[in-house]
Amino acid sequence: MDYLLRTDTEAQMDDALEAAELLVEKDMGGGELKLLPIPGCYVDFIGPIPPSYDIEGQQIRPGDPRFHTNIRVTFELTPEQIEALPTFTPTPGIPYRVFS
Amino acid sequence: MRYDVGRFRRPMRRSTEGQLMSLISLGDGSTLTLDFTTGQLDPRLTFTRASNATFINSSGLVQYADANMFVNSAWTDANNTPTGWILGTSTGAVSRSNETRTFTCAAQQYWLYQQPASRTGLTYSISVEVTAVSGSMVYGDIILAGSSTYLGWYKDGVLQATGTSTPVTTGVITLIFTANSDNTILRLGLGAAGTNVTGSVTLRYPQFQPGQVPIRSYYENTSTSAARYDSARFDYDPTTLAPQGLLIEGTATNIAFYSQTINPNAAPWNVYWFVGGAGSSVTPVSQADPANTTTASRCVLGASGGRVYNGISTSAGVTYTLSFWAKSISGPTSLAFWHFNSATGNSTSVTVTTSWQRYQVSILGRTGGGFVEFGIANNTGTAATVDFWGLQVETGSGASSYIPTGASQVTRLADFCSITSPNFAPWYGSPTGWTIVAEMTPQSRAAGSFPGMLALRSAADSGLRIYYYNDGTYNTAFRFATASTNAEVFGPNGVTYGVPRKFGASVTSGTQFASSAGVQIGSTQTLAVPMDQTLLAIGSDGVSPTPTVNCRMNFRSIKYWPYAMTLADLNARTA
Repeated sequence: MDYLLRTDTEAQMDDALEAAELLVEKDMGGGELKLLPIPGCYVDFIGPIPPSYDIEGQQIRPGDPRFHTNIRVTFELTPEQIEALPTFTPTPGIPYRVFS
Repeated sequence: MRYDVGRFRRPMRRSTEGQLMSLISLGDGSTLTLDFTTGQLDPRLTFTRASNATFINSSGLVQYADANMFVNSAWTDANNTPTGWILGTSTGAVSRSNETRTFTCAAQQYWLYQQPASRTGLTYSISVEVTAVSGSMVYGDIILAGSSTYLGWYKDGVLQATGTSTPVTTGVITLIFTANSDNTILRLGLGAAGTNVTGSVTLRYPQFQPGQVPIRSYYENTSTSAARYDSARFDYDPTTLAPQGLLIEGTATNIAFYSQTINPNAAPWNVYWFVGGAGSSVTPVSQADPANTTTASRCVLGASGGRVYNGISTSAGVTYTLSFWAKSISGPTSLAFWHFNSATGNSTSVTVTTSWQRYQVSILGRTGGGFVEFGIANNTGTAATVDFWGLQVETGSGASSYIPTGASQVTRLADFCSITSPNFAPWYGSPTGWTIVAEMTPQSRAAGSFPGMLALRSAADSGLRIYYYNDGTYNTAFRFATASTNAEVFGPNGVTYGVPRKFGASVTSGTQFASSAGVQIGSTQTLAVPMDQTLLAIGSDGVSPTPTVNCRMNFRSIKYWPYAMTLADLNARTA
């Protein structure tokens, strides 16, 4: 199952995915802590979406400065996990980025 | 296999390879030999990837790895409507027997559907086996793919028609289509197109996969919640067709839109694709391509800076790799990668040949960030004609396997390969020392990363990790570790992208050394490494919870010996 997520900042996205228990903090050694996805969860941090321009330089699609992320999970999320995800509506008919 | 380990245990304690060989007569004394050039994945290996991916097949063509994006294609559950499928219109009837469903209608409809993750602008194949049929049914009554553009109907791999009116007979019927929306509804059953029919049809083994696949290899998916993508890729040299071994890659995104619908002439593609320079033109999606289909575009690149390109937003200071397939048709062959507005410059020379080849160049994003024109150009002063296909722009300094895109950027997810319990202990045994040698071909790595290439380690991370290290002086690192400390040795430059190389290490609880290409790497270490390893990670460091795969590489072979070789023997093994 794929989910399209959006928050105002990258930190908010990290917090949301941690709250959904899809990212966990891992000690990488030497005191370095890193947020890593749990097995079966795949995260693509997209960030802000840039605007598009035509050959004349005219903007044809506005960008979105908010922080975007796609996740793919290969297991069933609990209702609580889904509730914690910063999904949004309406979802785009053609997303900026998708999983293959 | 446990029987073999038991036989190894005594001679291992005697410590010498010569004694071992004379006692057991098992080839070279190894207890694990993985030959990835056979194109088969050893069943002891666990392989996962959670997305579609492509590779170069044994004919030198670009091909998608096997996948079935229908959940529960097995239909073995006891429900008339199989778990994971949704019953649409049901004025008729359905019955089940084993893995089949028989749909029966009298001027009625009865069909099931799913909405797998299809993407606008990409091509897919949907297939199902018809085991029995009665009445006057046509293909369009059995399968529907939303409002997609149908490219052709096949039965048992033979083209039947591009329309929907071919009468159905038993066999595997396949519809190839280009999706005109994301998550296209896919119907199977009777009256799938919305027209009432009379008769019955028995179906089994539905499959939905990317690409144009007229004749499928059925890839069963028993999951009732997730698509199945987990087929390992064994790719081949596109020119010599020599096997390259198991392909392991990290996650990558093709940020170019409509990577193979190179059409600056019409919407919606002309929002992304442009043609410039007097005398330039494009005949879109009209020529044979490197995937054995006909989606390549013929580009006339005018004499005055003719160019065809895709405008893509970039970030300052980030390295991007531009890649594409091109083939010279006429005119000059000394053409150029076009990367106008890049901080690296506007173009880089490239000489194309008269056969399909993939070309790549790495450049920096635009100073201050913004759009860069990525494509092909002609700076020779004489018009040139090329066939052009498969534009890919990704971050990092090397092209990864091709990621087809449509109206969205597309992310391919990483490959993970390992051996864990219960398939680990039978060959690992209970050694007092061990040796491992792997032959692999590093292809590229993510910028700024030191990716793990191989690990033989415990849950507490004792054991060995081999890294693709590159600090300008060294390019290989071996990390020997106890649960609380580690020691690293580094190898000099010498690894060449695309060239197979052997790496090995010999480890006991008091002595460790590493070797590559017949030469010891760094110095001998003397850590008290425990012999409690439980995991062989291939293409990553195996760090939980999810290993990071940051390199692209092919594994040709891995061998393990349940004893520690001498340095001379190890060097001989890696030479």
